[in-house]
Amino acid sequence: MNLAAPHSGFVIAAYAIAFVVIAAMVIGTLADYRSLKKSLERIAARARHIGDARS
Amino acid sequence: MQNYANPTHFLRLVRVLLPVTAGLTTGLLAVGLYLALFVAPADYQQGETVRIMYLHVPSAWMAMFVYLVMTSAAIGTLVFRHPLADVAQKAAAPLGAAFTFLCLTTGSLWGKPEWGTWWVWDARLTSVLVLFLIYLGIIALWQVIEDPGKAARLVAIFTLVGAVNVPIIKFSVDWWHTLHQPASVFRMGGPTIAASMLWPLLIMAVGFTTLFLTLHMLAMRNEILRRRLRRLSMLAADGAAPLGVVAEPAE
Repeated sequence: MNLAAPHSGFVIAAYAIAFVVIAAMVIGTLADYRSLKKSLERIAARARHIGDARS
Repeated sequence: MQNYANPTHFLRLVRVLLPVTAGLTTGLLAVGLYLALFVAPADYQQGETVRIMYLHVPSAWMAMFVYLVMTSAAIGTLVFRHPLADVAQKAAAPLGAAFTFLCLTTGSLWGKPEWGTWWVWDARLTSVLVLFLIYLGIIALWQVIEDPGKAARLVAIFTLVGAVNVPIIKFSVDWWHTLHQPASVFRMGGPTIAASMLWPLLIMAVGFTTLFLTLHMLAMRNEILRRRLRRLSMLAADGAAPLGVVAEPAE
């Protein structure tokens, strides 16, 4: 690709936006998974604690 | 198909498929980007701006493909009552919105140097904007209705009504005089693009498809965990969550 060509700024902007959108989709999905897993682990630990107290 | 109605079985399948689709996506996008940026020639009229096509066209195809996936899921919810259909639909909506946003912004960046304007209210551009608004409406509906079962039925009906827009997008360039060019790949008589530009385009399109499949599986896994968490929180609010329920695997 010739970066000195006319309008190459539009091409660079398009690829930069695509990178940001795709990265946001990937990072958002993985961050959501981490947060859900942590919450599930917390609730499991609480249930185990209640189970131990009852037995 | 019914085997994977059980979320635990589905999560096991995701664990096997994810490395395959993620690897395929990385490979296809790496090769596609290399071909699109360094191998494919500049257009004799458009020059270097034609390279926006390798992002814009796959995004546009994905915007419609994701909506077709959601329409199938809506039928799965309303007709077959498949337990994972509404999970699939809810997980796909933000991804469809993102691909449609990418299609609109890259199209705008391509339109300015070629047409002399960022935007025109022609049939193709307007119908894609309507698709983007439909995606946002579906995401909003999922957010405002608390009961997932009720939300699933309402969103399924809304999705089926919105499906009318997909053939309008596809055929808008044939039915009306538009500034947007007509189809040049999927058309009667075969593609009109040179092979040196068609191959990078097709590789990028397959890469975008595997990217969607990967993210969709991840998002469905998240939605299953979110529902499990919701159920456990409600049980915990009633008293104590039964240990058997809590002990289900998280993935």
